Order: sequence, then C-alpha cells, then structure tokens
Amino acid sequence: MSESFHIIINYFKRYRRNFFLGIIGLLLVDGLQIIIPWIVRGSIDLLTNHPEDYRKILWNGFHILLISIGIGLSRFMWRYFIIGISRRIEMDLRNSFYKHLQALPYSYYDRTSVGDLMAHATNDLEAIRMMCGMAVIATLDSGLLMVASLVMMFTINPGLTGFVLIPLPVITFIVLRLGPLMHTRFRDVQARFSDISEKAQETFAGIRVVKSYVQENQECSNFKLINQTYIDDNMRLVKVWGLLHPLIWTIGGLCGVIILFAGGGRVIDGRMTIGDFVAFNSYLGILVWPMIAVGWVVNIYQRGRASLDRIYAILNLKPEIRNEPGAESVEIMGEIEFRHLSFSYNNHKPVLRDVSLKIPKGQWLAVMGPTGSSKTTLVNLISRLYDPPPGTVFIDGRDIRSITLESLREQIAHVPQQTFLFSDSISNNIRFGKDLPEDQVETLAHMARIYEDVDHFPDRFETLVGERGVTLSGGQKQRVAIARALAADAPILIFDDALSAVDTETEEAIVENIRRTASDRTVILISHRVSTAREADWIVFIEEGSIIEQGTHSQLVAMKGRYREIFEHQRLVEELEQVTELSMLQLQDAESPENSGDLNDLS
Amino acid sequence: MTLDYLSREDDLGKVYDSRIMRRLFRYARPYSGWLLLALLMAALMSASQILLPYLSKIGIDSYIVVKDRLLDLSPLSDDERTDFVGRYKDRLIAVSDIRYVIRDGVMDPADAVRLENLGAILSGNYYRLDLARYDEPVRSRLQSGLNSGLIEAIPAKVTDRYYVESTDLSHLPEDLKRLIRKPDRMGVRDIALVYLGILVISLGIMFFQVYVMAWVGQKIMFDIRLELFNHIQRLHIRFFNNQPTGRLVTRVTNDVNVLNEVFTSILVEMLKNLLMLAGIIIVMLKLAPRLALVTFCILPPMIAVTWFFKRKMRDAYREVRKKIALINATIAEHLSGIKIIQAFARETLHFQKFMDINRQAYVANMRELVTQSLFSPFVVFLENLGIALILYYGGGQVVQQSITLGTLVAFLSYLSMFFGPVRDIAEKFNIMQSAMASSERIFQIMDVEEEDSLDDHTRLISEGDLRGDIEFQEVWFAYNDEEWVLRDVSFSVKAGETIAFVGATGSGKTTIINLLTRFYTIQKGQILIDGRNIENYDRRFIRRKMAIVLQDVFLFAGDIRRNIRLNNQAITDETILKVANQVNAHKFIERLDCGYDHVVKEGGATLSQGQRQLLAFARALALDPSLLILDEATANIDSETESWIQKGLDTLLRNRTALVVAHRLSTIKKADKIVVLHKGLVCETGNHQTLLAKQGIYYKLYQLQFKKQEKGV
Repeated sequence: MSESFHIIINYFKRYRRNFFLGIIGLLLVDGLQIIIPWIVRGSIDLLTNHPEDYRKILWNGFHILLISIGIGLSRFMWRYFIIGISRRIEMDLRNSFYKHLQALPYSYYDRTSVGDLMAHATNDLEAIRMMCGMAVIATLDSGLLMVASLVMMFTINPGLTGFVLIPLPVITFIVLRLGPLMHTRFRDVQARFSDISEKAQETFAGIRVVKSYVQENQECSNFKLINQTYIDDNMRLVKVWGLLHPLIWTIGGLCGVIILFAGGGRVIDGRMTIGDFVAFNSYLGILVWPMIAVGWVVNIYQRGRASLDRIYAILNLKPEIRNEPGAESVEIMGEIEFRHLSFSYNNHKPVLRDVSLKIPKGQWLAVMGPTGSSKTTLVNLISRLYDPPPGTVFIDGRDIRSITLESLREQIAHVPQQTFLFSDSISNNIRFGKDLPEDQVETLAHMARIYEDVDHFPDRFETLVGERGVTLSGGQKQRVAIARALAADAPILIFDDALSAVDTETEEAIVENIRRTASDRTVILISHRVSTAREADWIVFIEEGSIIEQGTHSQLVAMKGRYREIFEHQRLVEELEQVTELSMLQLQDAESPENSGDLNDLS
Repeated sequence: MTLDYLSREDDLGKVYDSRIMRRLFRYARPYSGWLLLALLMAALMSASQILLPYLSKIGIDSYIVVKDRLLDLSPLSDDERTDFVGRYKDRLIAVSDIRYVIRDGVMDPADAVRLENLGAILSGNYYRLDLARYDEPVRSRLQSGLNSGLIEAIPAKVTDRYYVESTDLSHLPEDLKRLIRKPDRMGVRDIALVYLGILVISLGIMFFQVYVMAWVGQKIMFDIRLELFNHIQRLHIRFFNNQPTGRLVTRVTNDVNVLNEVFTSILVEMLKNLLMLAGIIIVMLKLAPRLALVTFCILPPMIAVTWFFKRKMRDAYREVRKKIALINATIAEHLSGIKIIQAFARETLHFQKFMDINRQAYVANMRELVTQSLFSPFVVFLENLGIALILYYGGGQVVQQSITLGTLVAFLSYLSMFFGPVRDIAEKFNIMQSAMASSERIFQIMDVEEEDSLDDHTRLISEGDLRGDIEFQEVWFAYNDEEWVLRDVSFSVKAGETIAFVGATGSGKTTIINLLTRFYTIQKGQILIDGRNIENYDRRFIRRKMAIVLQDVFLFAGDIRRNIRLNNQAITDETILKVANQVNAHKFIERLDCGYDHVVKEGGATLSQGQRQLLAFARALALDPSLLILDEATANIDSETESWIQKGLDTLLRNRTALVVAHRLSTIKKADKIVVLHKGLVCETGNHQTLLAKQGIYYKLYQLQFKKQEKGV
C-alpha cells in the first residue's frame, strides 16, 4: 500500500466510532432487506397450499412493515455515518491542503497557476471523497448483499442459482470495460467544451478586431467547426453510455428469462413452489445492483487513487522558506543593512549583484531605476519573501534568518506594486486582521488620503470591494493598500512603486502625513518619480541589479548621470501640462455660447 | 438596451413559461420528425417494460399454476343457476348438470363470496387435461391411463377433456406426471422466448432512442449556440463595453447546454415517464380493478413525499452549491493574494476564515445528506406498504377466485415500477426551472438589436471602391449623454494623404477612429467619405475598405499566418511572406520557433509589444486597404524593433489615406497634416513646419516630448 493511502487510513482510524456505527447500520439494512422476499414467498405459498388460512398474511404484512421501518432507520444510520465520514475527510483534507498551500513560498506561486491549484482543490478532493464514501459503501453493501442473496437463492434452489449466475458477472464486466471508456470520452467532450468556451472568449474579447476586419462570418464558420467536433465527440460518448444502461437492463432481464423458463419448469415439476419462484425473482433484483457496483467501485477507486497521489505530491512539498533552527522573535528597531548581497532566482543569472547598503533607523531611502532592474527583488528579500543567502541581509545588525518569519514579516509593512485587495469591506481591508477601532481606521484613511473617497460611498467603510461591491480605481486601491500598511504599525515601511496611480499632489500629501506621524519609522520607497524620490534622505539608482548612483537628491542632480536625465525629462513633462492647460482655458473662453445652447436641445 | 438581467444570474423563476417554450420549440421544428420518432420509441419502450411482468403473469396462470376450481351449483335455485351459468358462459365448463369447472380468477367478488358462503365452491384445485394438446403416442397412453383409472379424473362434457385434482396429479408416477405437464413446460418455454425477443428488441430500441434523442438535442443546441454567437458578434460595440466577456461566454456555453435538457431529458423523459405511469395504471386496472384501487392508495402519499423531499433536497443542494462556490472563490482569492498574506504574516487569520467557510460547507453537505437519507426510508416504507397491501388484499381475492396468482405476482412487479417515474418527474421539474432561467437569459440577449438593425440596406452603399477623401464637419460626439468627447471637430484629408493626430490622453484621438469605423454614431455635424455622409455607407462595406491597427494588438490563438491573414483564405502564403517582408516583420518571425507556424497563445503573451505591432502592420497590409487607421503604440519598445517599426510604417502608409494617432516624431513629421487635439477640441492644424512656425501648443510639445526622440534616434 502506497504512502499516500496512509492519509486515508489515518482518517478512518480517527473516525472509527462513526465508521463502526455505519457498518452496523449497513449490516442491518442488508440483513433486513433479504428477509422481505422470504416473507412474500411464505405468503404466496400459503395462498396456494392453505388458502383457508390466508388471513395469516395480515401478520406477514405487519412484519413487512416493521422490517421496513427497521430498514429505514438503519439505512439512515449508515448513510449518515459513512457518507458523513467522507464529508469530514473532505473537509479535513481541504483544510490541510489549504494550510499547506499557505506555507509554500513566493517562488512556488511564480511557477504555479492558481487555476491548477483550484483544480486540485475541487476535482481531486471530490474524487477522494467519492472513494472514501460511495466506494467504501458500495464495496461493503454489494459484498454483503451479494453473499446474502446468493445464500438465500441457494437455499431455495441451488441448481437454478447456478443457471442465473452465468449472465450476471457479464454486468460487472460491462461496467468495468465501458466505465473507463465512458470516462475518457467524457473527458474529450469536456475538452471540446472548453474549446467552445475559449473560442467564444477570444471572439468576444477581440470583438473590435473582428468587427473592424469584418470577420464575423468567418468567425462564425470557425465556431461552427468547433461545435461540430463537439457534437461528434458527444455522439461518441452517447454510443457508450447509451449502451451501458440498456445492456445492464437486458442482462438483468436475461436472468429473468432463465428464471421464468428454468424456474417455471421446476414449479411445474413440483420441485419448487410458486412462492420460491417469486422470491427468486426478487433476489435476482437485489443481486443486479452489486454486479453494477463492483465495476463502478473499481473505476471510482482508480480515479480516487490518482487524485490522492496528486494531492499527496503537493502536501509533500517542503516549504522552502521556514524558520531556521534557533530563530527567535525579536522587536525590530528599524536599521536595515545589505552586505555584498547577490541573488538569483533558481540559480539563473544573478538579478542582484554585490549590493551593499545601510539604512539607519528612521531614515527614508528612495530606490530608482528602470523596469526590470530588480528593485522589487531587493525589498522582497528584506521580509524573506524570497530567501537571501545567509549573512547578506541584516536588521538591527542581526541576520534576518535568525528572526522568526512571523515576527519579521509582522514588523515590515508592505505596499506592493500590484495592489491586491480582498473582496471584503474597506474597513476590513484596512484592518487586515488587526483589531482596530472604527476611529483608528478613519484616521488611517485620512493619512492615506482615501477618507474622502470612502466617505462618498453609501456604505462608507462597510462598502464591499470587488465584484460584489464597488470597483475602486487604481489610485483608490493603492491608497487603501497604503492605509492597510500603515495599520500594521510596523517599524519598517516599504512602498513598492505604490504611488504610481496617485496624482502628484495627493502623493505629496500622503508622504507628508507619514513623515509627520511616523517619523521614527524606516521607509523604503521604490518610485519612478523624481518628485517622490527627492523627499528621501538617501537615493539609490539601480540598473541591472547593481547600484550605479547613490546620494541625496542634490548630490545626484549635481552628478549629471542617469538620475539627472530622468529629473530633467520629468520637469519638461510637467511644464507641458501647464502650457496646455493654459491654452485650453483660452480656447474654452472662445467657445460660442449659442453653440452649446443648440446642443442642449439635442438631448 | 436592457441590461438589468445582469443582476439576476442566480434567479430561478417559473417552472414553465409558455412564451419561452413556444420560442424554444421553434428550434425543435426542423427535427420534429426525429423527435416524434424518439417519442414513439420511448412509448414502445414503456410498452415493452409494462409487457414483461404481464408475460410472467400469463406464464404463471396458464402453465405453471394448477388452479381451476370445481363448483357444485346445487345450493342455487334454478333461476340463479341459469343466471350464473349465463353470465360466466365462456368461462364455465360443465362436468355434469350442476357441476362446473370455473377458470381461475374470473369470478366477480360478490359471486365468489356468495358461492363460498353457500359451500358451492368445492375444495381442491383441478388441473385441466386436454387430450387434444398431446400427440401420439402420449395421447393413447393418457387415454389408457384414464380408462384404467390410473389417472383419476372427472370428465368434462366437452370431448377429450378431463379434470385432475392437484393432489391426485402429484401422486401420479413421475414419468406420467412429466408427460402430462409437458405442454405446460413448452408453453413456459415459448413465453420465455417471447420475453427474450422483447428484451433483444428493447435493447435495440432503447439504444436507438437514446442515440436519436442525444443527436436531436445536440443539433438543437448547435443551432441555438451558433445563432447566439453570431448574434452577439453583430451587437453594437457599446454592448461589449458594458458586458464582462465571461458572462457572454457563459451564455453561449453553459446556458445553451442547460437548454439541451429541455428537449432530451424533459420533453422525452417526462413523456416517457408519464406514459409509463399511465400504462401501469391502465394495466393494473384492467387486471384487477379493486386491487388496483387499493394499491393506488399509496400513490398520493408517495407523490406528496417525493414532492416534499425533492423540494427540500433542491434547496439543500442549492445551499451546498453556494457554499462550494464560496469555498472555491475563497481559495481562488486567497491564492491570488497569497503574496500579500505572506508579506503581512496573516496566514493564521486567513486559515481560520477558510476553516469557517469549509465548516459551513460541511454543515450544508450534512444537511443535504440528512434530507436525502430521510427520503429513502419513506420510499422504502411506502413500497413495502404496497407489498403488504397487495399480499393481504390481493391474497384474499386470490382465495376468493376473483384474481389469479399470476395477477398478484404481476402487481408486485408493477409496484416496484411505480417509484422510478415519480422520482424522475419530480427531478425534471427542478431541471425545468433552471432551463427556463437559462432560456430567458439567452433570449434577452437575442432580443438586443444588432448594430445595423435600423439600417435600410437597400439604400446603403455596399459596393464599389473608395477613393479615401475624408472630412469631418463640425462633429460633436459623446459616449454618454452630454459628456462631449469631441467638440466641433472639423478637418479633412485628401485621398492618399496622411493625417496625424497629436494630443494628450483623453484628447479624443481614439474616438475619431471609432467614428470612422461606424462603431458609434455622432450626435451633431457630419462625417463625409468621398463626399458622402458616412451614414450612407454600409458599415461592413466601410470596414472592409479600411484596415485598423490599434495600440493594443489583439492576437488570436493560432499560428502567425492565421494572425496575418485572419480568416481570409484569399491571402496566400506568398502574400503573407511578401507583406511580412515589407513591414519588416519577417526577420523576427523567422527567429521564432517554427517561424510562420509559430503558435501564438491567446493574448499573445509570448510576443513583445513591438513584435505584435509589426504583426498588426502585416495584417493591415495584407488587406491592401484604401484607408488605413493607425493608433501607434506608446509602450517602450527596444531600439532595434523601433527602427524596424519605423521602416514598416513607411511601407504601410505609402499610397493610401491614413489617419494616425501619432506618438512618434518621425510619423508626425512625415504627415501631410497634423491636428493637435486637446480635450475634444481641435487646437491647431497644419504641417510640421507651419505648426512649428506658429509657436503654439505644437511647438511646445515638440520642444518637450519629441525633440528628445529626435536626439535619441
């Protein structure tokens, strides 16, 4: 038995009490179920042999009703307990899966798509649940029923049982053979269905091109083609499942024919009673299900095992970034230092080369540089989102690897480049798990200059973000993210190009607010704007992973290097803005009043 | 345009809406022949399924069970006797003047009770021995047996018929007994063969029915899907601005699939189930009206219970679905935001949230499980109640001679056939509800008018050539109400000229392009093409005559060739090669894996912005349009690609009218005319030299933005 299977075994051990109760229920159901045809048999024989006593059947009927109450209760019992266990296992497994995913590092998510993980969390867990629930039940149930009804049939008439047993296993064989075939064809159909989806997605997303190049008819015929294959694959599937059920039905019927012929003959010859004949038919009806179940269980089991292996493979991934032995949680003051830091992702070519830099506590550092110059990498290393080599990154003179991940990350507040907000209320997004009073949230919102925007929403801070609520603009999102970072009240604050969607004026106000209220915090600002950078105590300019210029704003401007170039360009752009604004005003004054009057009539 | 249905995604409305149904059935009309055939086969299926227990009944009554009864009518008065004999004429066989043998199970219960009370029904079952059923020499042997008294029998007043009491029969020597019962065994064999035949034929019919039905369903789905897809494509561009693409895709995919159910499972299955129920009821009533009525007592509670639980189960299931969707949404969101969760060390908090949702799902699942598990005991109980009723009440009737044992056994079979159809019908109602909701959503889109629905196609110009003269005359335009995006814009371009639009974002440059393609209609002023109002042209005609290159190049899934020629098969591989060379795209294409066969993923993530621009140039040039509209890419492009684009552009612009939203100084300088726009207003018009000389906005722009480019290149 493979390792992955032990997970399941352990779960069953954990829920053994319920499992045991479920089994008892199952035994009861199957045992009781078998009795009813026996009572019917007795009643019919009574009718033929002792018609004068037929009133005794009333008692039989009464027994049947009592038994069916028993069946009902026990059936409820096993369903509740055993299927319940499978639901519990699904929940538990989903929890561990989720917890494990949380511990996997950034680098894992760089190479794994959320869609893939979702597929595991849904399809694979479902397959495992089916294996733990339905397959377990079907195995036990069909096994028990099969044995019990065969015993009964043998008791009635061994010879006839032998005859009937010939076609029955064919059912198992058919399910076993057609099941997987159906599965693969079904997968084909699903794949074709995604093709349709993709094609529609593409056409609707590219509708401008489709329309401008007058491609509607051709797109339609392409779409038609895909749909045709979808039909074809569907019909291939229908050929299998359209056959499965009728085949089973027919083979069941075939056994009926045998009973009618051979059983009827035996009744005629007096070797069997008519009651036996009827009971035999009932037992046959009971026996068909286990035959189907056997084939079915094998299929579920195979699929469940494959899914279990896939889940297990993920659960078995060791989180690459974790607390080093001896790591302790410390209170961070805020001094950051990089010592000859070189870093590369997965042993590819280095993205940071020999970076040495010291940021004293309470200082502001601005990082500038073109896209792709590894600015983000540099700040991500401070909170060990990626792991820097030992002895390269220090906080308060301590190698960050000697600090526990939780305490390290809790004391570094991050405003990432790509703002991610959760679909929750704005206030919960700002709190982000911290227990802050309402007025504190509002203060933070003021600081991040988002208060007025939020104030305009009908539900104010309780407004939901995202699909079910308001769609925030890029700038608004960034400001909420800033408030969230401020809420963390951390000694180190990192803004990773986090003011890009905010206009210059607001940006200045935010920076000023932070300066005023949190003067003792160490701040790292990644920015493309000189106007932001010049606020910092120290500026570094990074290109291709190395610091090529550093100094204060005036020093760098004096240097006439890359920083100076950018500085000048940005100043020109600002000037243009002013010039056009001015000419716009002049033009608007010239706009004739009667013209706009006409237009009002139009609407 | 009604868009309010967007909020009703999960709304489940009526089970049946005749308006929607009528509309749906229009799609079924082309296949009505096949549908009828499938229905007919479904009816046949039901009939054969009902027939099988009946066959067993015949087997039991005619061959297997020995059960004729001997009546002594002496306690009856003469009149009563004549009346009785008269009423049962065909089913009574006289063995003497007052003694008759009556076929099993034919007596009216009232008569049966009366005769029983009078002691007119003699005890013992009798086997009818018809000598005519036996061939020689068996017949002689039986005759001699009868004559010798070896076989004790009562001769009937009909020739060659005797009645043997069943215990006497069983005491006969084994071989003789077998000889006597041989015709019965043959009869059972024949019935078994008929049974087998029906099974085999049913197998064929069943498969064929499923197949035909699936095919019809697929075809209808195909038609609806194609129509919907084509319709959506032809909707106004405005529609797409307001509509998430994903939602439209759902309409075309999932919603159409739900419709399939209407025809396959609902229409046919529902009818089949109804036929089955009706058939069973009729057969039962025919066989034994009283017993049937007694058995039907379980029907009302059964229907009520099924109805009640199916509703409960549907609600429970819906709750489960909601929770599962919540779990999925949560996992998806938390994984998308995993980096921020990790950066803030909020794993525990989110894990707790997740556990809570996961537990909610578990609770919902268990609720569904309990509902489901409660349902089945009720069904089991009712079914067994039915068995008990049939055994007790039917047993009495068997004893009283009103029904045969075979009938009783058949009733037991029919009872078990009741439950399936009732359950199915209840289930179909749920499906029906979601199908109605889906159809409604589909038809709502179908009812949105296509962009050219108001055009009078007979009067529109849709043929011929375009020279390419374009003129805007005092054009005012707003996307919404009165938020003017273009204010009083006028300019003109002569055929073959290039006009460049310059201005900041939001100045209205892109809007001008949208107007020329007739994606939108202006509110005031007019746009002339070759001196005629643009509204006199068929939109598709104009679009065919022009090529548009947008900033954001949209690439289709497929290879490079497909992305250049789109779907136009008239564009040969040679042409593709030629145009790719002309716009300088050839070099980079060659460097890709598989060259022109390089497969572009949707969105074209594997290609750089510059490469995509070049591809779009090739796409435009392959069309050889009389009018070119170009929105230059603003994104940073590496200098090598930049120079390629520069050259490609020159080829593209040569000898045709071109409207360019320009970002490159080189493009602007070469333009015959430059229009400087700001906030929807034309600020300056002229060419590079005259505008520079004017020292207005363009001059400033040049100083600040473009001069640097000039230095750079």
